[in-house]
Amino acid sequence: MELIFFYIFAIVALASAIAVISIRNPVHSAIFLMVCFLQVAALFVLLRSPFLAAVQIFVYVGAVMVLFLFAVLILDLGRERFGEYLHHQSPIAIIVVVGLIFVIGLGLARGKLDAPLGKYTEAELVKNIEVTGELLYTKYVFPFEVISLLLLVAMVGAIVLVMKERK
Amino acid sequence: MDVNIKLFLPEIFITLFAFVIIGIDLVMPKGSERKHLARLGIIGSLAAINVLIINSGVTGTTLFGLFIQDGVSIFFKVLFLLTGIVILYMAMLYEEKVKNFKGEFYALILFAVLAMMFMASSNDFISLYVSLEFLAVTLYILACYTKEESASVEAGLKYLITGALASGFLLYGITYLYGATGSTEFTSISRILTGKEMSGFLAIGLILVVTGLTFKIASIPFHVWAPDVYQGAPTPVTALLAAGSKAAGFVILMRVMFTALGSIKPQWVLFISVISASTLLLGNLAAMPQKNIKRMLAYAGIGSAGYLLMGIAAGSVLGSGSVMFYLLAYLFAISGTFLAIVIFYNSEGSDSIDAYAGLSRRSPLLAATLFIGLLSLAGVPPLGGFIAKLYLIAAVVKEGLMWLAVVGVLMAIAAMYYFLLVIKRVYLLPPKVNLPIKIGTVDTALLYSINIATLILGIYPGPFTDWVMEIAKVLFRGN
Amino acid sequence: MLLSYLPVIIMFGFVLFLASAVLFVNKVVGPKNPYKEKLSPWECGMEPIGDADTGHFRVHFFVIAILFIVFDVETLFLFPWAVVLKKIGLFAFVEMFIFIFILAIGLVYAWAKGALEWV
Repeated sequence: MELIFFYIFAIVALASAIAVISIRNPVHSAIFLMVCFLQVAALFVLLRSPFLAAVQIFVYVGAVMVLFLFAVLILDLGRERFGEYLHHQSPIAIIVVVGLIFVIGLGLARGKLDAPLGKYTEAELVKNIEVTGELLYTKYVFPFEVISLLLLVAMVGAIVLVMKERK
Repeated sequence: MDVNIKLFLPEIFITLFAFVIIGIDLVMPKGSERKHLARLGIIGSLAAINVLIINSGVTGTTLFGLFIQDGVSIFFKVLFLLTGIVILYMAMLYEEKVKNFKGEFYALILFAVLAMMFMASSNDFISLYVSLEFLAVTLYILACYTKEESASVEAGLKYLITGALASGFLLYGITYLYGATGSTEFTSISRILTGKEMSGFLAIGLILVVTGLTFKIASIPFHVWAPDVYQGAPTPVTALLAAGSKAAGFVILMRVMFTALGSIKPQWVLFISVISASTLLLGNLAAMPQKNIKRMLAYAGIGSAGYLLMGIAAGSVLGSGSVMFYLLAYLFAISGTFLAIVIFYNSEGSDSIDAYAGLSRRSPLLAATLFIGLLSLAGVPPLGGFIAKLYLIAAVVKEGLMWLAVVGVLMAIAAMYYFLLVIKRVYLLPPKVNLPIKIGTVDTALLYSINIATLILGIYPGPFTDWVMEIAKVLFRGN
Repeated sequence: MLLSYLPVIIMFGFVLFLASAVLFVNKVVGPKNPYKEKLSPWECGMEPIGDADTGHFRVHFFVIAILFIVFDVETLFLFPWAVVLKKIGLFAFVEMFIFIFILAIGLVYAWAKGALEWV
């Protein structure tokens, strides 16, 4: 039963991801991106981490999409079309992608996971947010603080690159 | 809680200085000169180097094993801070070209140095990825800082798009490695992998992680951004990309390949060797027809990444020690060359190689700096770059990779050809205008000391090579 | 555990059904007699000028959006922190203090540079 849902979400996610890059109208591809993100959120629920699912919807479906739509609307899309900038690269791209899929598929077919699958039991994972919080604020404190610096730099960067300095 | 503040005190220093620079910038009168902020940044970097040297005996892991301070990280942090000092000085000379937000330019350079220091201390894939993204975001902003010029914006955009793709590869690879080993920490991955067979998951993870990291070091297959970005970005940022970002890429490549994946070395040697050889060929051959000096140095930088990868392919103490020595020699050669390029650009307003004709008659010091810097990059004795290439080639020969050594030697000759083309213009062709180029006293002192450093590394490399070989042993302690 | 998400999936299915049903029924049953004025977008009773997709949007929207994302992410980190604060104690408090302090510098910076003004 769970597997059926997994396949539904995964297939819809893949299909919408392909739609994102193949549709010419950028607003439509942004909407498809939202569909893709929602499916990924559903996959997180299947993986017993509802907190990540909430993060996915909170950040990606909410905030990042706002940003995308603004970026898309700021661009002068009435006349610009993306296709004109691709200098016959698609055959090469297809070869590379097919090659990559082949290599990964081969590896997956021959490989087996010998690492233990998750040390938390179902009962512990009900308190998903506590598990996440405890790890994030003890073991992963270093990346956590680096993220604050990263966000600061992103903020400074947005202002520096977009605004004009007031005289 | 596992916090030993002594181990990351230099990082705290740099962070505070960057904050202070942003803060002072806010209260300074608008549109005024901001050179004092760069001086402040240089003082901060010197203070951090001082702290590093005082505490160099204190090593170990902290912050729950995610942060490591050992000989390698101390070496690279000093290297990054020295790079930062030179870049800040270069940015000071370049300030007139930055129209808006001058103060933030210095702060962002300091943040980039900070990110590289975090990378040098990463002992876990999570901290590696986060600090790598921190560096990437900072460099995306810096690359298109002179947004009035379309070349700079193009550089930033190309860097961003390839960077995002590469970081996707890296992250995807990390998930496979995590799936195969059940850990993200380098030392415990190494412990888990000891005596294990190569599995499919491991192979995919390894290929994807290495592919993702080739973006930072500008080697095949993620080298395409380098020429456009080097040419379009503001020159101090180009120097930062060339000297700093590449070294940061190699420190994490060394930690991943030697510390984490060292026990499956026989499986990845061929892979890295092929990348190394193809990068060597592409970089050095494509550098020949270039007309713009920054673009030529971009291809030469790709070639250098190929040489450095030889050290990774060797996978031994000798190999990684040579990588560190090469990066040290490379730092001095690159900073001298780029300093000369900035001073020349400020006077002439051109980066084209033809404009350098007759430079020796207009400014003997600039000409000599280019001479020493470029020949060190080419690997001509008795300069630092020669010893570095010699050690790298020796390292691969010792591991039985004769064919790679042959490619390395042949490409060193090719490199000599295109660098000598520049030297020929500088020394043998007559100048178009015969005005001398003015160089300030501090500039002169800095150029002299950089040139002397390159010469010392070439003539008397003994203590330095012993030092890096001693440091490099740390990487292999896990196995 | 997953069973608790059953209402979500039922709701999702219902929404999907309702939305497509409304569109479909509308298409089949609704009367149609379009003419030019009726099809043009309503713009305060004025004649519309130009297209909506030609990019006459202020770039300032973008700065606001970026600032929104940054503080959105910050809020996200506060949720698990609030849950485990008592358990971890002072350490968690101090690290979140540093985190928010660093982002507060960003806020002060954005404020001083006029990124929050709408003129």
